[in-house]
Amino acid sequence: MSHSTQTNKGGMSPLMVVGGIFLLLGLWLTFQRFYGGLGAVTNLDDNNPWGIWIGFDLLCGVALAAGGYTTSAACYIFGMKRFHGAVRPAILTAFLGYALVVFALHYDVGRPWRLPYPIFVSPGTTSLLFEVGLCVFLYLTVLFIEYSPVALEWLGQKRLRNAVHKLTLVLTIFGVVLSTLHQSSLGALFLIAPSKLHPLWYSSYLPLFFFVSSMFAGMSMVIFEGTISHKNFHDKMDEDHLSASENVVLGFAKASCVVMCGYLALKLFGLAMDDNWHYLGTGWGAWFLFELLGFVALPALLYGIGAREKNVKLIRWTAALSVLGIVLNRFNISLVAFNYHLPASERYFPSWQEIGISIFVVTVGVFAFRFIVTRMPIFYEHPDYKESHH
Amino acid sequence: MQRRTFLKLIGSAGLGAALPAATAKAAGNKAFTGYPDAMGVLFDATKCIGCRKCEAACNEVNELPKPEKPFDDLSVMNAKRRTDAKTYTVVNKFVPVDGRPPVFAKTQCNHCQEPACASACFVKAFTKTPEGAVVYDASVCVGCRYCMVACPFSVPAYEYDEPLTPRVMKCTMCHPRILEGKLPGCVEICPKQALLFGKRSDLIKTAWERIGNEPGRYLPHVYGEKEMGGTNWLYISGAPFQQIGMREDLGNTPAPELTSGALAAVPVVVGLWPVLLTGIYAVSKRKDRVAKEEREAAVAEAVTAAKEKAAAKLADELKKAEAAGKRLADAEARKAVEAYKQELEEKAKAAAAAADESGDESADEKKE
Amino acid sequence: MEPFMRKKTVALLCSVFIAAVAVAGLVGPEAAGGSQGAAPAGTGRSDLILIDALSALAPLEEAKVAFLHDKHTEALAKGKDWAQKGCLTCHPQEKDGTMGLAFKKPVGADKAAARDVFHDGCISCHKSMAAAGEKTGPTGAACRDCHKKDPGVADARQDVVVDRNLHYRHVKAYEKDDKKCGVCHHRWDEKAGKTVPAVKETEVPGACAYCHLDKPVVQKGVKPEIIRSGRQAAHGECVSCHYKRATEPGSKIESPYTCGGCHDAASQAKAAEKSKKAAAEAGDAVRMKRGQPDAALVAGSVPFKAGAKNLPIGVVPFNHKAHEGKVATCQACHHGSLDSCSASCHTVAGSKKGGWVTLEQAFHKRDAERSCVGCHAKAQQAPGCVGCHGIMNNGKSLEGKSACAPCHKAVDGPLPAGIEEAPARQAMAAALLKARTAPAALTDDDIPEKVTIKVISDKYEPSEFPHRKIVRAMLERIKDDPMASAFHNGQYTVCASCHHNSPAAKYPPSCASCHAAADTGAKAGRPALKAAYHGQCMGCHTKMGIEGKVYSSAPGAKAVPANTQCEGCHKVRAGQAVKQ
Repeated sequence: MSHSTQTNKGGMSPLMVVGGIFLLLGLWLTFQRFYGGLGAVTNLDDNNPWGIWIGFDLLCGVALAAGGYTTSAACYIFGMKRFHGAVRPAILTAFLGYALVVFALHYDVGRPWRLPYPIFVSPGTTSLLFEVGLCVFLYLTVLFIEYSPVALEWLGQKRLRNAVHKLTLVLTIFGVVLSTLHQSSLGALFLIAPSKLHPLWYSSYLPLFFFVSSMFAGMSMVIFEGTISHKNFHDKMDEDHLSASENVVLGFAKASCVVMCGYLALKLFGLAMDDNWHYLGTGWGAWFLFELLGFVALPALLYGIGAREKNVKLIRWTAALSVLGIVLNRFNISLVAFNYHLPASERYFPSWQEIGISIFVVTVGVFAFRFIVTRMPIFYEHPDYKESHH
Repeated sequence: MQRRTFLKLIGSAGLGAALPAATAKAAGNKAFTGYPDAMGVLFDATKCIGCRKCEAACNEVNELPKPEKPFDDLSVMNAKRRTDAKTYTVVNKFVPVDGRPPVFAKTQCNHCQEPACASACFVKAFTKTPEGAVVYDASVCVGCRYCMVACPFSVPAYEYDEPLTPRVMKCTMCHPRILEGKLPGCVEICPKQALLFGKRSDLIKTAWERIGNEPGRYLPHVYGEKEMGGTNWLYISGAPFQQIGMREDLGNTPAPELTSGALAAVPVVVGLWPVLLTGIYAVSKRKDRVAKEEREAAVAEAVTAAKEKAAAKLADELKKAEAAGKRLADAEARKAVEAYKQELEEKAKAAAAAADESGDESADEKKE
Repeated sequence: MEPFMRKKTVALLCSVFIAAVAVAGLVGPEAAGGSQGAAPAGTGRSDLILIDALSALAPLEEAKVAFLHDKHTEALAKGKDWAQKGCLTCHPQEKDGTMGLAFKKPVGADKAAARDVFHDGCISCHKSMAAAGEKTGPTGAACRDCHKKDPGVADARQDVVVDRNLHYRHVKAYEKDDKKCGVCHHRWDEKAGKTVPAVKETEVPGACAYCHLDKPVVQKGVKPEIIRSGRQAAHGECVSCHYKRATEPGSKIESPYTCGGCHDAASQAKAAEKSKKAAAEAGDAVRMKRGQPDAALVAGSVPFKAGAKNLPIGVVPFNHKAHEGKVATCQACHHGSLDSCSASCHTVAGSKKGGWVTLEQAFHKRDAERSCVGCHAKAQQAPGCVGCHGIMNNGKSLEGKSACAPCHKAVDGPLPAGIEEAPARQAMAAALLKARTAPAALTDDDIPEKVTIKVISDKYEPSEFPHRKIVRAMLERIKDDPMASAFHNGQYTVCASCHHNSPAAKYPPSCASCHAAADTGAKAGRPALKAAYHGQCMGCHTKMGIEGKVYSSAPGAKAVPANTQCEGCHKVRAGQAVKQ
């Protein structure tokens, strides 16, 4: 199999070296974290119990891993077969994304070995975090099963693979249900703290905002991830994937544009419902508009133009902008506009160690992704199963 | 069979997910007004002299670590402090009116009637006891610190420096002492009885009596009577609460009510989404099938037409050939006719195949 | 579309967005900054006028202009036209030759014209001064130069009160004038159809504010049709007279006519000092003479009738003369007119004219400023009184008959003949006031010297309370206060502030007989013993403002212990480490 040979034969690329350094650093920080406690490596305090490990690793991680459910739903439920070649990379990204979210949570929570407690020992069903936990747990299982045919093909487990493959539709529907629930409840986590989150960001529609934004976050991430994969793993891609990727870029651009417009309308509706217009004139309002206009309205327009003009390059840049926008939005809600009422001296800014761990987690993800796509049939179809599609 | 499995799965998922909504107590027209005999404490800011005896007593009865500066060092009150992992309660000093004596305010867990921390905790580590205290059970705590995010009064603190067994730390209203029939440590020590222990309902009465008896001394507001759905720690003061470090913008909605809407949406999503998605799937599949059938019909028609045409042509040619054959040598003629017939048949086949291919895109479904 | 065209579209969109963000950034801070309008301390001025004349015509579109009157007067006084025009530089001349209070001309009903009065009036003057190279104000380049949301100065104007001392100085100055009182006071003359000077004391209708209210009074069909507001009347009469007197050739009178001259706290203090001195020399002449008696029986709901017996609440003799000296003006009590309170306003059942304040409330409402009880309650907040009067129920008096007795005197036998007439009532009041006797003074025998308190003696040594010293200090504070001697009418009344809620007596019940030894919480209904003691001691120290300060003037006197200084009263018991 010519596909499975290493791309860069012999020697280490500079990127690999940097990645390696990040991994080593991460291991050192891991030791510090579990030897000295959270206080040893984080800037968290009693007023700011959640930092970037929640704001970035959890909120952004989950939002950006939404490509899994959007792509598979588009392909299997809405019958857009032309996206078929993009499903596997999206599922893989999602699976790794969620796995990393859970991995990163081990750093953030005080007693990570108790992470199964909410589901198996003492379920606190009134908590939205319980809903998040349960859904993420179930969805990670679903994603694992959805992903497993890839590994089974690689391992040559034909009968098992075919059995799992039969579950595709059920798993897809299950995935959409679970994603709807936990994407929205991540936003709903903040519903309990209206006195701490700035009114421009607080809304009883927070769950809706999170869910709707997760759709274009996922789609943008699929485009963004595709762009990077194209640069690095072009030789791994077969006809089906390449043609699908073009379809995906244009199709998702159009869909993202529509969803973003809907999201904008919802945001305006939220402003109107709480009559928060007057805050727009403040410094917070400028920042809010910066987020909304620069990272939602602008990408929506650019996606629209890109889709109409079939300008793939523009769409790819727009995807990067949208991904950045999601990160900004999640940061704003969990960190920037959270505790807005506190004096500057009591506000949170991450320590370098926190940033280091987050980079470490992303690096682990990149390495895992690389390991899998260079070995398993992600960007191409396994020759033994070609007939099962055509 | 597939559909049945699917429905069963969804059913069980829905049951699990519907549970939270059932316990959220938000739906229905019953308002939870707290345990009837719940105890509480009334803090009277006009009586507090800022001696920090309550801080010392709290430290002692809860066996907390000794602070850096002793409790009789009143200079620590020059900076605003909050509760932390080693301190369940602090007294802060405020000067609401320049040149007038300072006003002191004590901070500790307010023991909400419907606690945000308990509602937010995903392992039920917090319990609102019938005695009024909100108590914490470290044995199930995962350390997610969502309780700290949720608490509108920013009370719970965390043992960030504890690597293995970090706990959330907060005032317990001395629940064990209450069960023994004793007063909370801070209440017992207070030299001015600025802290009054009693049934919450009695305390509210006392608070309003004091306000009514001395209108100039107090503002007509019992903080905690309604805030966040009511708390078991109550406050009265002569200075606006905003000016003594207490937020007056929290509203009266109990914390669980803030999230009940989102939780109530769970069964809706679980119930409706699969039906809707299956419907969409069925529609898109049916669309494909209809399109395919139409294509197949068209192809079949085309093939038949081509075949008929070919047959007609063949017959025609045959007729012609036969006529010609009469003029030609028998063997020669038969050979030529055979060859020509084969050629025509191949042509018809190719036409049919081309038509087939164009209608073949939906082949996937066959395998599902 | 050509590739570069595409790029153009994108570039255009990007620039539009950046512009939008920039605008938001610019608008944001200004809008946010608008609310922080507080001026820094020490910039208060008494001549600040917020020009809002247009607000009567339409909602204001711009912020009110903060105009500093004295600043303008000073600047214009340096000009060459001042000698001829004076105030008429800006103010219009009325028909009778006096100065009008409006700027340039009174504002009419036309908004645009009204606005132009100010725009033209201010800007043209500023412009011409600027053209002449003089330092001047904004010349209308930008609206915000004048229409500022935050003028940067705070209003520190003090209201002017013509108290009886200041009044006396004016009386003395015009003693020999033909118009006498009529120099200032006027009355409406029905026959003449105009206001005429009220020359004699008896012609003066009363305080200015009885007729000249907060806003001008417009009455149709009744003359005069328009009565100026208090502000208009004061500035029209006082300022023009003061100005005339001060600027007369050879004048030695320092009558103030600028804003600061009357409304500045410092100039008021200076004037008050001067008036006080003048009044001190005058003795009884300082009294404003409106035919008031020295003593009177307060008219209540029961009419005085000769021969009436067993009056349910007795009679209230009132020392009018003594009270005059305690208040600034008659209006302190007679706030609406000099007529009887109960005649048409504070009737027994209350009336609309009297704001539904009944006669009983007019005398007894505790939180009212002008009722007897209200005014006395305010006096109880004085540092020497508030220690006792501030700690128990904010000094509310005892309930029941003993609370009424100091004012309501029982009358033995029937009311004398002629009581229907004022002189008889005044004579009776004077007699009753004279008969009021001070209670016997407390002797050392009545006041135990030391009290030992052992409530928290588990951790501390018993507290030695210097009982007699403290009682003596309290008595010393109030010994010269006539109100205190009138109201502390029993021998042991002063004891009741600490030994409260039981009849004042030489041997009051012990504190522990009411206050439980242990804190049993809200259901006890009263503080436990420890809190009761601390509440009394600390409450009094705090209220009197002597906590932590040296109070006694005796040599080597120690400071009153601060509330948080436990060892100041209790010695720590040996071997008992008090948790710090």
